[in-house]
Amino acid sequence: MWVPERVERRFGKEGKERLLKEMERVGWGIIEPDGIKKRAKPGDTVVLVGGDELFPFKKVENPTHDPDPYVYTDNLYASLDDDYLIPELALSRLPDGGSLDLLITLLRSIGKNEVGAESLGVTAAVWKEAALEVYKEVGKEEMVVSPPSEEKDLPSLKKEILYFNVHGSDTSPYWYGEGNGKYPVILSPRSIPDFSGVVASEACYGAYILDKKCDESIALTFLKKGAVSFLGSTTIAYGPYYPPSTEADLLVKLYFQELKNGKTCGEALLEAKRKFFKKTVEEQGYLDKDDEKTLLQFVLYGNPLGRLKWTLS
Amino acid sequence: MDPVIKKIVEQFPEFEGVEPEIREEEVSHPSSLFAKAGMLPVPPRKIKTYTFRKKITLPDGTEHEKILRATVDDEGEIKKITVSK
Repeated sequence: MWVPERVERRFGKEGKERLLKEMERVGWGIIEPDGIKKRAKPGDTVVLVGGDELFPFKKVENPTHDPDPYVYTDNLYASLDDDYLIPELALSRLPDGGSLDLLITLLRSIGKNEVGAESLGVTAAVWKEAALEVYKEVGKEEMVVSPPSEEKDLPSLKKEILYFNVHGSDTSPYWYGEGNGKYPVILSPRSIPDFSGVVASEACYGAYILDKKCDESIALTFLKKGAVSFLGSTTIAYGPYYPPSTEADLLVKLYFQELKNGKTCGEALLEAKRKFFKKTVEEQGYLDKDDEKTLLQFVLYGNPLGRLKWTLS
Repeated sequence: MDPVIKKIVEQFPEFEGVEPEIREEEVSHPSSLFAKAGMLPVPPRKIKTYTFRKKITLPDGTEHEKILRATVDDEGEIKKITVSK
């Protein structure tokens, strides 16, 4: 799905033609936003072509009282009715970071792409127990805990599944740990190597890409360096200090479980959101405003067809 | 002192002295949404949320707001505590 006039405004007529040719090469139906409800049916996979300038996020009034005026979300594009907290389409977005070349690289990467089991988890020390509850779905190794770990202590990120339970910001390109009143930088765009796995991050603003160039965003840098997909939050995200998993922790945990069930990244996020609603209502008795924000703010970037080579079966 | 605030401050002393914002709200969703999740609808509930906000400065000079939210049921029991990432 694309908005051709926005593409032309940004990359010129030639850029638009180049992009169209690449989209035709993928072999999927090419539609504009108003065609989605006519053409798509529940369970279909849809890709939004471009970042916010090319394909604006929907802005939903923030249900939670915090500094975010809006929640930037793709849920409304993934929903065929008005109940957009639980979408029906498996959807991902291909951000451009101001670069037509990045967009074309991401388009060319769409397809079956299986990743292995080697994983790395990184957590702020204050959330270690809560993070382990999530990470155990995909990782057997010890998690990197920050502090004491800082960016210079990170082992190789050349794994196939990366999980981050850390702090993020909309004004800085870094992610941070937390412990003993300290907030060391644990990851910056410059530390990200060539990489071909899936990433899931609970960092506040981990997927915030508005007006960001690649080197100003960890999410965009991961995609530029070859990540199959990136799951993250566009706004301030919340999670518990300790298990049981709720909010961002629960959403990512369910996403990992669905990947293990053999789902593609797009399908896994779709199913994770449905199960998040059900589990939260069953266990808490209701879905509160923070839970609503969680369902809206998590977005998927990159190849929606990526999946794990290994499954529970 | 509000017993919820007392409990939060005891557990998370860094929020001592922070005046939380307290909101009462009713949470309800349309039955069609519950149907999409494959479950029967639940009745609307009244809850209270306590929001504690504290500004911190990150090592690179970035200003960051740390937010702790506690959800409290109509009997005054803390059901959930979460913090911003």
